[in-house]
Amino acid sequence: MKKHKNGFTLVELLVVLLVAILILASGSLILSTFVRHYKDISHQAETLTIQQFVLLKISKEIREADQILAISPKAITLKTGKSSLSYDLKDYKVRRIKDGSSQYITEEHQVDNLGFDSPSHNLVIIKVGSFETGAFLRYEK
Amino acid sequence: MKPEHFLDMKNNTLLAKRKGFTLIFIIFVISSLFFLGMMLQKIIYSSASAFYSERDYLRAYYLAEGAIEYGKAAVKHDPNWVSSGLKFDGFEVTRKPNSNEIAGIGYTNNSRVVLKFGLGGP
Amino acid sequence: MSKNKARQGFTYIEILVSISLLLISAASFFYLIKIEKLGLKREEKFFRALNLAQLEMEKIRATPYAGINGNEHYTEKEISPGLKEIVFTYSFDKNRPPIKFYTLRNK
Repeated sequence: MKKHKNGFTLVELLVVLLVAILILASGSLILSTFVRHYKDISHQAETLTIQQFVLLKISKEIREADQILAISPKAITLKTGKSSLSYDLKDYKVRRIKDGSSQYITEEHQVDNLGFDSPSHNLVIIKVGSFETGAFLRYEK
Repeated sequence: MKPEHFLDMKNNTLLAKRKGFTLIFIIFVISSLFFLGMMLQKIIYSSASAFYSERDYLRAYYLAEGAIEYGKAAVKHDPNWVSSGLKFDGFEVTRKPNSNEIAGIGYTNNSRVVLKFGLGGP
Repeated sequence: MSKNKARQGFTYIEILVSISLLLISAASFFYLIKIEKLGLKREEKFFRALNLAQLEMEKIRATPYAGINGNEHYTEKEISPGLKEIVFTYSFDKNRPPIKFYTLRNK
């Protein structure tokens, strides 16, 4: 049998295969863990940003409002000047209705719960996700 | 000797067997993963800095409110208290001359909030 | 002839180096991810505290002038008759500076 100059022995191949599998397996494990955590963390950061936006916007508008027309655990309606403004959660999106025209300020399932409470007159507690903050109507007319 | 050398290289193609390629490949993988990590860091950092700027906004807002209360007290004290912009460390109150409107301004490192308050005429 | 063979395969050292580099990078990545998760938790805690601080400030704003007497979060001082100065300090974590607000109130 002719001796092949550029061949590999079976043992060589097996060893290389083993080492290659080792490297690839550990590499893919690292990569998959990394990707999963990356998605988790970026999703969490995005949720935080959106919750901050919603809380800030609603509390600003409550502070500037003239009067609370209606408040329920899931919705609030305010009056500013001659226009009415209300917030609630519809189709898992935060909906803002100003003078009858509605507008969604988040996308589906970005905010999973929106709650309102009024422990005392003109003081509103706003709950978004697991965060709660408050706003007081200062200049009631 | 040289042509033989190249003949050998033809059988060992680019990906697998060139000397030192493994190291380059590993370095490439590591650097791309670090790049992804930096992107994640940027996401978290921008979210955090949004929180800090909101805190600055709130500080300036409450300072501006305090400014207006100060202005209200000043007007009560002296009905002719005029548009002298008093500046404390953080807020400032001014009044438009010949009007019943005071403006309070709150200053923080990164924000400035202006609130206007109408004193209500006679 | 033997020289050609040596050039073809992976040297043992090459494999050792690459595996050890992979392991080091794996360890550092897991550590990096853990740090980033911790950082995110910290910021979430700060955000929660900021919102509660705002709630307390608004509560103060809601109480009438006579009812502003200070509590665990704020101190008040009458700096001139009918004008109270309110210094609000909300601490949420022993390793971080507290959230501070300053305002005045009259009437």
